[in-house]
Amino acid sequence: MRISTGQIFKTGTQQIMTKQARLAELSKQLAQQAKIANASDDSVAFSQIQILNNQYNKAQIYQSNNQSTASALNNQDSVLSSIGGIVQSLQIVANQAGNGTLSSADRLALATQAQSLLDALQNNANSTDLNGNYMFSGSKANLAPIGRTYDSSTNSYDYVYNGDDKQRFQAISDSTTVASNDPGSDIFFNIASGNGNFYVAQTANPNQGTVVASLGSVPDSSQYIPGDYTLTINGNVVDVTDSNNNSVLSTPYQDGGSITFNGISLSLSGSAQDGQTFSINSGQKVSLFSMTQQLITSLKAPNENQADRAAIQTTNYQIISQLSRGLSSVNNARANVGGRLNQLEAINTSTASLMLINQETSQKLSGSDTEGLTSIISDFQSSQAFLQIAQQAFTSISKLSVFNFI
Amino acid sequence: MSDIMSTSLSALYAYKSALTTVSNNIANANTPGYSRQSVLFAANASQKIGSNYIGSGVSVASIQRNVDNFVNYQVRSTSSVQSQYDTLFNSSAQIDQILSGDGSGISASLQLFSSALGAMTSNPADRAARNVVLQNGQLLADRFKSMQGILTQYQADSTKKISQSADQINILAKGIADINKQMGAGSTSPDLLDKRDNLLQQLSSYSDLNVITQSDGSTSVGFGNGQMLVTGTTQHDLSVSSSKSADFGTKLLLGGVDVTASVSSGSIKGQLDFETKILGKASQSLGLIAIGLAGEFNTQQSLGVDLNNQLGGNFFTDFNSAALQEDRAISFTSNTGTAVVSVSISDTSQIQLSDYNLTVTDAATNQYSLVRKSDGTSIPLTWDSSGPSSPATLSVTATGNTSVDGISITVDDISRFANNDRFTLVPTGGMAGYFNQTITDFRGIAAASPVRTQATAANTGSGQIALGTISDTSAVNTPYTITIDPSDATQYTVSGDATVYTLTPGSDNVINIPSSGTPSFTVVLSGTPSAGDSFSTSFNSDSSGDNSNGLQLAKALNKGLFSGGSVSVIDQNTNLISDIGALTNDSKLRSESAGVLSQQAISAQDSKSGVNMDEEGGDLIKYQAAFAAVGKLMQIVQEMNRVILDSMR
Repeated sequence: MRISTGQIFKTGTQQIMTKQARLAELSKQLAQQAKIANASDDSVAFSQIQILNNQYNKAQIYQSNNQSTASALNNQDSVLSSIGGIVQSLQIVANQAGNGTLSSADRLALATQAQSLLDALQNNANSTDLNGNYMFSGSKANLAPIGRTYDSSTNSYDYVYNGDDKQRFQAISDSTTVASNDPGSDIFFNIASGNGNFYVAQTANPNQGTVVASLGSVPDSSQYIPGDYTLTINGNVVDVTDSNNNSVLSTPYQDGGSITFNGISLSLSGSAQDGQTFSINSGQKVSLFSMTQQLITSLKAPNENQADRAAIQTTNYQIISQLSRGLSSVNNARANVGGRLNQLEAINTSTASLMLINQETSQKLSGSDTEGLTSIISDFQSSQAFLQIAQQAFTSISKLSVFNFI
Repeated sequence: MSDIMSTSLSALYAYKSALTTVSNNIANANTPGYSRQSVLFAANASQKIGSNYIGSGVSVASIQRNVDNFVNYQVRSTSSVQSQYDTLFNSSAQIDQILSGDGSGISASLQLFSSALGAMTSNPADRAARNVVLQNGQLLADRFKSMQGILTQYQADSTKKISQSADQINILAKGIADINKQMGAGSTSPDLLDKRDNLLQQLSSYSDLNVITQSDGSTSVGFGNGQMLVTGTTQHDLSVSSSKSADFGTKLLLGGVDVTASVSSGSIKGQLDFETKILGKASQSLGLIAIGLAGEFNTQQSLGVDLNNQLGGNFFTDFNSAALQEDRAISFTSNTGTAVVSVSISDTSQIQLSDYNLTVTDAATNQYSLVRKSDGTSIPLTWDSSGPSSPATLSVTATGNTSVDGISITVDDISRFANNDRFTLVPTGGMAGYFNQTITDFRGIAAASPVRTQATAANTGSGQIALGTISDTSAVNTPYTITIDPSDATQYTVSGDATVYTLTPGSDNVINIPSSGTPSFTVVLSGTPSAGDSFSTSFNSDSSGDNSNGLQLAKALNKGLFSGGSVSVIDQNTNLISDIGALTNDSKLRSESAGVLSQQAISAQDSKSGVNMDEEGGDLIKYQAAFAAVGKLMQIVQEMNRVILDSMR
């Protein structure tokens, strides 16, 4: 084949240019430390990298959701822990209040102590998180959940819940959401009164008899018929009527004996006087605050005679039982929070390992892992060598001309 | 003696011509388009002397141009293909880099926005977290608009490039016409022929053209459809249509006729492909992403409550606003009717990445034709005559649907159509340029759900109520109460409805609110409520700590919105980037393989027509030696003459 001189130069320079372009591409890859920087480098791998990046980004959002949820729950747990401590102190006060030998002054001192514990309780329940939002008010994050109004007729406070029942959920994986708060209504309010089934209170005022009603219980729940009952002692006979004034029990009074009706068991002790009445109400709810208020009211109640003390004792049984259920409600919430923290931890670990795999795959695909980088470097060096060879070949061929000899 | 002298003289002239040709070859070794010339000698006619013929020297029979027309044709056609893919690659590589670059594409902004939404759901009441969402939303909107701006700019640049190419073609065609004129005057100079071949070769890099050699030796040049650039000595101007076209794509006119479709390769074709396959597609895809994202966000916003205790307003541009609906239908300037057509997006999951041509084929009998441009599918249509005539909505004849490919087409007044009125419908193309964040106040983000559910405090059972799904907000402002029958805990009524419903205690009971008619939302009643318990729903005011609608907003970017609901905003963006990347890479590979073919053709051409210095050097020595020999011969003749003259003295 005939080759023109122009062709020799053209082919030579073209070959050098092709090799230079390859070298430039490799040096770009070296600079960006990856084989793939744009979609055109390898569109299939690039779209996979994009998908992996998106998953990685999602996982990152889940991780940060996870952390913020965990920090909110940890915060909540520490507040609930101090609330539990306050309730335990209140239990000690309530137990002391059951001691019939205390003087009125002693009881007033206990009342003052209980009042300051109640204030602390309210303060804690109205805790705010790092952003100044109330922890226990459900979705009404700007409203202090626990409000109180002074009731002059009883010289005490009525406690109300200002929040709502909404739990806030946070997504921590594609399929898992975890509650990051608990509304105060669940933890502090809605605690079943009395022994959990019914509340026994002495109703006659002024109080005449010295009969003390026990806490009461439901020995067999299949027999239990909830309702509002009235118990009256007249002429050494105990009469129990239901809310429609129908008699459900009529039995001779026996000091220290127990009576049973509609699944309710109650023991009565003390000397009976005509006209002493008790109410037995089922299914009522009480808050941690109002039960403490009850304790304070009871501590401030007159403590003049045996009859006063009997009334206080009846109330105290109920208060002690309520406080222990209040404590278990708080502890229950803490257990719940703990369970969620464990779940967060577990998912955190699995998300983190997913992210790691994700990153490794993405690096492998883009050729930015060690293997990929090594191959870029070796390609670069061989291209460099080939370029030098092409240059040398070109210069030596271009030197050949018959005119050198004419 | 004189015969020897004349023979020598003829050789002297012949070799001088040969040496001149060699020197011309050497001189033009680097002249583009120059074809190597070679000298053909021929022996002069012999004289008959007696019975013998005695030669009478040599003459130059011809000076030949070494060309191969077939090879020249190959060079033209291969360089045409190469410059097509070269142009396509060089242009699309820029878009590829812009789209897939971390700092320039919308991927990074989408991810930042998504992260900000995630952070907001952790602290829905937090002003800072909400402001970060707004800042990143604004960033995203800016990115959409700047991407669309880049595409529009590239389109304008591309039209400019094509216009410049058309100017170049006109200059080259003029040159060919001039050569035709000179050749008509009788000149067949090799330089002229070289120049013409060179002009044709230059033309081929802009566009492939039909080259026809006429019987008179002149060359005509035209497009495949018969539109001629050069006929004989006449040249026709190629120009770029100045009329604004709705969709991406420059129009080429030759003598007033649209020849755009006749261009099948060359750099102009590469540029045209860049406009439709890269710019047009990217614009349609980005527009679809913008429409889908805005629609989903605005819908979800409307199902939530913001910090001002209002139902959420639009987060981004409403792409079904009257103005944008009309913007999507561009009527041709040639239309004689005055009808205004609107295109609204009715279902993003059905949208196709295409423009449409709507033509009124017969206004009297309501005949229309709608053609999807991406694949040329024709969709039979009719106007819904049973509905209100003004405005009237187009419906598909076969199925009775009023939407085609997820778009609804409406006309303000059907009687304003005239025959052959044409409209270009552009559902998504360019829409990314309208993508704005319309929400300005951080309080306006509707992170809370619109309904608050509450169990009455005096309830004695363990029943709990939670919000189910929200279909619309028609009943969220009305308080509803669900009351369990006072004597039967398995029956309940809902306020505003006398019907007694049954409930299963201990399991999740889904209750429609309102319970009769179309439900606006559902609530879930679980646990075991006691007889006489009640539950209520009310408007969810002052619920700054509620993030339930925010969680839905945060999901929007990964929700399947397109292609029948399988492709999310983020997927669609990934698809766009990888599609453009694949096209770019494809054009690169094609350009490389076309380059190889083109090189081969050029090599073949060089091999035939190029000057080889060594060869010329050899010829130089050969002719020089022959010239010297002839000189010697003349010296001998002179000496012979002297010998004879001396003998006569």
